[in-house]
Amino acid sequence: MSNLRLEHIYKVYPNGTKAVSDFSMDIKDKEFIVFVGPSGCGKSTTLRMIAGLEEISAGELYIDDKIVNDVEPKDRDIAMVFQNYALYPHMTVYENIAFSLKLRHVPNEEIHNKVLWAAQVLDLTEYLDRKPRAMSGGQRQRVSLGRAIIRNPKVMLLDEPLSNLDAKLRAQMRSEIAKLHEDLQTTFIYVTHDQVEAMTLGTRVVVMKLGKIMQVDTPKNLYDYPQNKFVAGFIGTPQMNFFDAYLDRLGENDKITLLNSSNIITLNHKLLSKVQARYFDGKTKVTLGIRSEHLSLNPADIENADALVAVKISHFEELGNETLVYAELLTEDNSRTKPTPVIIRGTSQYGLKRGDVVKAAINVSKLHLFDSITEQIINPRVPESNLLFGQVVNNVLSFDTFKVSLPKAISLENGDYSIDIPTEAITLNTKEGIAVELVNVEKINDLYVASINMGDSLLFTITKEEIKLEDKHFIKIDFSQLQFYQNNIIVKEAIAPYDKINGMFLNHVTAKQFVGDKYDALVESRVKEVEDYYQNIFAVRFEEKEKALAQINNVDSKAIVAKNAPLIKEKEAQTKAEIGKLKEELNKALSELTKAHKVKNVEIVANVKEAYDKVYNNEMDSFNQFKEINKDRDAYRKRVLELRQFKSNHQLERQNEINKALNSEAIDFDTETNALKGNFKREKERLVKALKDFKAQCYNEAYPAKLIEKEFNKTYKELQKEYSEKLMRAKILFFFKTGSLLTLASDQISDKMIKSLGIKVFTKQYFVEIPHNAYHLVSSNDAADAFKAKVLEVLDYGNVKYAKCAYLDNNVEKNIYVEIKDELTSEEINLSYDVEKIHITEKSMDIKIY
Amino acid sequence: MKRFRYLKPIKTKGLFYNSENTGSMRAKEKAKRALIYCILVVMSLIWLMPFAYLILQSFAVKYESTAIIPKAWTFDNYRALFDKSFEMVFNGKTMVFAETYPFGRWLLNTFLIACVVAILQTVLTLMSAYAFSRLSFPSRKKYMKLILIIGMFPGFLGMIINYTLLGQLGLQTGYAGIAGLILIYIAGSVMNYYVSKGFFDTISKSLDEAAMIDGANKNTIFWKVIMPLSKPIIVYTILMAFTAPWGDYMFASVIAAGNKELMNVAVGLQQLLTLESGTSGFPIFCAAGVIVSIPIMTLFFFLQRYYVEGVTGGAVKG
Repeated sequence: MSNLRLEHIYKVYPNGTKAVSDFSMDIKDKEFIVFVGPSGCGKSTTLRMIAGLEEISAGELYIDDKIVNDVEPKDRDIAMVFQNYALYPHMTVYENIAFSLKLRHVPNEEIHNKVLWAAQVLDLTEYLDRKPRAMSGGQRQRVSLGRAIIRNPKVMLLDEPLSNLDAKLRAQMRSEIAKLHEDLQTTFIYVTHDQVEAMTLGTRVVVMKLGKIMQVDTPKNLYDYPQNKFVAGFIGTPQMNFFDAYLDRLGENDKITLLNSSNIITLNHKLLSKVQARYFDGKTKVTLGIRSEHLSLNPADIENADALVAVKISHFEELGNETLVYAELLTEDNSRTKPTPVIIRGTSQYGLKRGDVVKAAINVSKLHLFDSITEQIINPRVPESNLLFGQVVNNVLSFDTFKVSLPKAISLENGDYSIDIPTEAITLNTKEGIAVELVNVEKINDLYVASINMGDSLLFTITKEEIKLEDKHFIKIDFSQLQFYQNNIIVKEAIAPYDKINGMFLNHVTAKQFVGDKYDALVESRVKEVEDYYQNIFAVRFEEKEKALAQINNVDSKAIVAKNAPLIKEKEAQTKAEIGKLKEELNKALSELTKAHKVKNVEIVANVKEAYDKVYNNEMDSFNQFKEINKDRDAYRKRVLELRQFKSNHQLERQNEINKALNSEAIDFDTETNALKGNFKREKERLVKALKDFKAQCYNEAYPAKLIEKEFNKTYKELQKEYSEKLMRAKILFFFKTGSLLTLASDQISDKMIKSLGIKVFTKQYFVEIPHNAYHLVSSNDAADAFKAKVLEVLDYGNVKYAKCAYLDNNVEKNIYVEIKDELTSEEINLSYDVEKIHITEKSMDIKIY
Repeated sequence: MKRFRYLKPIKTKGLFYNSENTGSMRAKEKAKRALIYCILVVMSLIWLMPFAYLILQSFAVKYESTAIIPKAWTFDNYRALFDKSFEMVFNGKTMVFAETYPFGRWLLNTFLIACVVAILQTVLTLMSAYAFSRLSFPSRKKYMKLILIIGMFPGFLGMIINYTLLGQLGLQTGYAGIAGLILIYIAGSVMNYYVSKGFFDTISKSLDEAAMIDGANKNTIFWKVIMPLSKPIIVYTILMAFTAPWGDYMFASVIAAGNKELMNVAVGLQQLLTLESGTSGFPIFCAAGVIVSIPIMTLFFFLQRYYVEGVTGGAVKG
């Protein structure tokens, strides 16, 4: 019943392997999240980090907006179900389920009710007094689920709970878990390597590979819109078909040439409009992915198909409701390379046979294209950037029909360029800017993707606000984010959103050598603030206590003690008698049970023996008969051997049968004894507790002042602890050192850094990423509180001006871009920055901290 | 006709099978088994001989080196050990044996020491083994190796230094010496971690983790989850911890320093054999030996059923 946030979580083992890197995710309340991936991808490690069983190397984990990195597993209010059940074998099912509540000193009656509830939910009521070893795998896993749900945890963690079960039980338990999620309405995180479980259970699925998140999305979106080749290949059975291919542009149409094959697919360019222009050169290798159901051998489909591919059929797999056709892409006649395999899904074999060469219909609207090197999708639903071809003539940039004049900062020679325009660089509005014509608007999740007509190509932009196609639209372009290429060489670089410079993290003691005693006053004021605050609270509490004490000062303790003494004595005797009676009853019931058990055992043995004796006698009779009439020596020998075999087997079988029957009786006996003992224990505990409560009540009645004092001391102790912690924190200041500048780090940032790196925080090196608008210009009088940079040029992008500066960072000259409002007067400027706006990255492990 | 020679009927002894062959296999099996049993019987006879001899001699009136079965029988040897009013002729003198050699006292000493050591050592050994099995602390592996290596040195190498140390603690002589002896025995408890650690390693770690999530701390996990599952190893550890001081001679003799009140059975009985008595005390020595072995046997028979019983079934998938 809570949300969970993972921020830049890393798990780095002492030998340096990164099991999980940069795992960031927001998990909302009541979601069912599934982590899926091949073994060794870090999914279980992530889950164990959430549970607190594994330490988090860096990053923060929030449960309900509270950092829990250093919180013990038991205090995180989570529950976990293990792959191997991890039930306590010496406890009955009841005790297993109740264990966590017992440890938390929940009243017995409440425990009893909750256990009964959990048992009912999970259909375990009749097994409550059994021990785990007398139960089947599915039942054990249900007990394990029961143990998890009893506390009503904020988050349920399930670590491959079904992988030890057989296929049928697994399907059944899967639906039970889904139902449980519906009933409990709590957050579930589920780890599995089985994609069927992932797809059927998850509201959102996290696909992981080698410790990294590959994609987080709903199961449907994962299947329909995979972000990369890994997800495309991992999700879906049979696997998606992949072909290597080249893309070409032929006017209105695009041509896809499949490598290693004689096949060429032609399709309308609109279907591939989100693919960046640089891929259409006929040379860049891409991977084409298509699911088996989007290929068809059905004659009706082939007749109406937009495109066809020629394949040679190699074999069939009949699955009953559908048929998988395994084929190969038809290669050129003299090709020596291995042909690419294709799987086609259909409803029948369509009268085809092995070795046939046929054309298969291909659904061109369902193509997935991936970069063959990065394996990322190149026709994504939400494009990140547009790569267009344009011309510059006299500082006017034109794409076919669309023209825009470039700002002063970009001065380029006339000629053809390819331009990378991030979708973020374009803002769409209905008021001002350059008038454009929208071709299409798509709503994807909560984003709107608008495509703008640029003549022969489209320009994509993304907004969060709803766009109506019929409105008149204008765009604004942030030219600083544009990157210009000529012959694949960057001629005009985009300005990155951040400047990355080296920084160090210092504490006050170290920083004093640079800043002197300047911050001592701040420390003092912080300390004073905390002191004042807590003094006030302490005073109020004290007063409350005094007031309460004043009200009860005329209690005659001795009289009350004297009055209560006989009552207590009576109650004690009563409790003792009741327990004694219960014990007597228990012993009687137990001895009866044992007696019955013994009788039953004898009966079982006798019954089995009788049945087997009958068989034995029959066999002997038949043997004797045979002996009488048989005259053939060889046949007799054979018969004797058979008899011998029978005799030795008969003994063993009988013993087996007896053991089996005795075992099942022993389990029943055990269950019944446990039930009796468990009941007795609960009753006894209830009586003892009642007695204890009564005594405490009498004591409080006699000495009310002591109760008040005790409660006050408790709160006082807590407050004192809180106070000393706050005081200690107030005394500590942290600084960032970049060049000659020391900036006071806010408490929020320092806390985060210390939380994620611990004591190592001072020995590590950092990159400080500063957005351009976070800089402050400092006058030369305060140059001590600034770092110097040399102005190289002023870039005017129309709406915003940047000063391109050279900054000597650890003896390496770096370019930084400072957003400026006014003209600059000097060649050298002094800079400081707004510490709230920066980002911090740990250098050696590349860990994002803030 | 040459090519049809393979069609001649093949000669077989039986109609369906080769009966003689099967019979010989059974016979072989029987012979093999008989041989194994013979070897086992001989071995167990050799094994039991000394013990049988000990029991027989404990009832002998007089030691005779040639007679395995005593010629004259008596119960006096046992009586002499405990009965302080029983006068007998021992080594040519008439004396009250139980006063010169206070066997009852020795037995009590040994029993007390062994009980205290068994309890404390079991707790310490199991706790340290659990720590080695579950907790990860700096240089855990180095420490484990170190203990193994130290354990390979004979214990009495450190006897002199231990003796001096006990002197400084004031636990060297008199009844304090017995406390010192106990201290020496239990101080090395951690040395025996190895077997129990091996046992704890077989208990699935997810049980600990499940308990941790359920809200148990390390202490609760050890006592409430791990201990109930470890009955066999607890029994083993108790037996080991009990038998070591029960039969110890070296350090006990140093502490007793000739004082008959402070001896344990091993030291006392040794005195009985070597001092002026010669071989005349042998039957009494045997009677004492029988009595000394009774508690160990009782302990073993009492604990045996836990020893065998495995209780881990159903904990995890298996």
